[in-house]
Amino acid sequence: MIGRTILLKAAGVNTRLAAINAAKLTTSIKPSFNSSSSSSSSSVQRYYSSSTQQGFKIVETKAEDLPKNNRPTSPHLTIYKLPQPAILSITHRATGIAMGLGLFGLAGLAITGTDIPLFIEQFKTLYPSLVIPTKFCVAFPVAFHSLSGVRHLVCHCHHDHSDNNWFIQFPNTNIIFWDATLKGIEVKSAETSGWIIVGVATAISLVLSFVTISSA
Amino acid sequence: MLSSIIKRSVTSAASISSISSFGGYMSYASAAPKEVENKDRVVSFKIYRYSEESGKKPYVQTYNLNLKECGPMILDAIIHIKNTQDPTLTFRRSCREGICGSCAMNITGSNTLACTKKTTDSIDGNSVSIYPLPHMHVVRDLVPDLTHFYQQHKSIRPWLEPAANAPRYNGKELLQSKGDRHKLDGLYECILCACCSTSCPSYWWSEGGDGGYLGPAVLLQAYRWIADSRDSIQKSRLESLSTDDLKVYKCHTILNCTRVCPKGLNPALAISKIKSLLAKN
Repeated sequence: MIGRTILLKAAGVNTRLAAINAAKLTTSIKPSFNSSSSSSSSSVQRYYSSSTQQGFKIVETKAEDLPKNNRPTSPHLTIYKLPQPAILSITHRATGIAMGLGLFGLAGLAITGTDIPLFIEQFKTLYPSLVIPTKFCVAFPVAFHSLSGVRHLVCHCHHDHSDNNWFIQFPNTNIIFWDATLKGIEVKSAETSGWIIVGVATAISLVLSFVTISSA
Repeated sequence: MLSSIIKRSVTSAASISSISSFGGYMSYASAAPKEVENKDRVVSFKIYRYSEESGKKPYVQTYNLNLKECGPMILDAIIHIKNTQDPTLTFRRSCREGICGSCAMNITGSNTLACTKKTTDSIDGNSVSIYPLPHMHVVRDLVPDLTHFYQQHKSIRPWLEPAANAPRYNGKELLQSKGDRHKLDGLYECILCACCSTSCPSYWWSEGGDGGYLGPAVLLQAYRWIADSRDSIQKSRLESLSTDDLKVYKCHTILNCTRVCPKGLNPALAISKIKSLLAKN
């Protein structure tokens, strides 16, 4: 099928209509031009004059003759007010990447012969005031990513709902969602479970920041 | 005669949804304005503008509007702007009661239907910002190109494929129990306005591949046909969804879709149900 674009020029205002769906429009517009030949290979021009002063000029252009890809993409991230679950999802990914890079960096340093424990001891003596914040910065991604991941844990598993009791569920609530249980997939419960994850992750990280595990 | 040709071509294009671009053609809203605001309240409408013919880059134009002069909804306001201030402002609209899905747009940072969104609920710091649906190719002003979206919808075979020997009433009507019918509640109401799909960051960023991520609206529809007891090709429907991991599994359950759905549906739940069925089969 030959797609065409119809340009309506009315009172100095040009309107491009057919751009929505050139092929569909061609069929839908046919009754208006019953003499229009559907197999024409050249572009068809028709002129309609009216009794009023404003003249209409209808120009049909084949879709493939139109300039391509110059339509802008509408703004998205810059104008969208992202709700809490979306922000937590981004945080989940960011913490995951941060942990990966951290592990990769430390492992890389260890391979090249750096003494990591010595490095940490040096850091402790040089910047004693930064020890607790640093510990928090390490603990939070681990805690948050784990808890947030647990919410999705059984995502791709083969799974039978009926005899499955091993996951935690708060009594009489739907606040935890799992792809296996299909519970809590609502805006409010997702926000509630999100705040629980943030709260618990922060609490765990704070505790870990102030606890010192001495190596024997 | 002439104007009837134009109107007919506009309304036949409206089989998908209509583009309003003719000043005065849709003047019904300002003809009988409902006054919700008794006092003068001037609000600035910051509206995304783009026109291919102008050759300019997209820009945001500000219109000041006294809410006392127009109806209560955003659609009333933009129709009023079009009638009184700028006839070149272009947007889609048809039913003005939330059933056609034409006037889906991004209003003050969230997707919704302009016709069912109250202007006073969307004011943020004495202004209302209106953009086309996010991350779509813009045809003009607030009119996005939904071709890709409709093609994706077509790809899930949105029609009934009954078995040849399905029990029929009077040899015609396909029978369904009440319980089976209720399984379709919350699914069949979708009007395909694309609010949910274009609210989804995963949908924004996965256009490529074999159709890419199908997005919440199309997946809700996919599930609507999978869940229908009269349909006989569930297996093949699920298979075609699992041919490419991107089609379903780009969903990260952030529920932007459920939040914005103007019909109050839950596409995220439908996607999870599809995932669950894919895991079991």
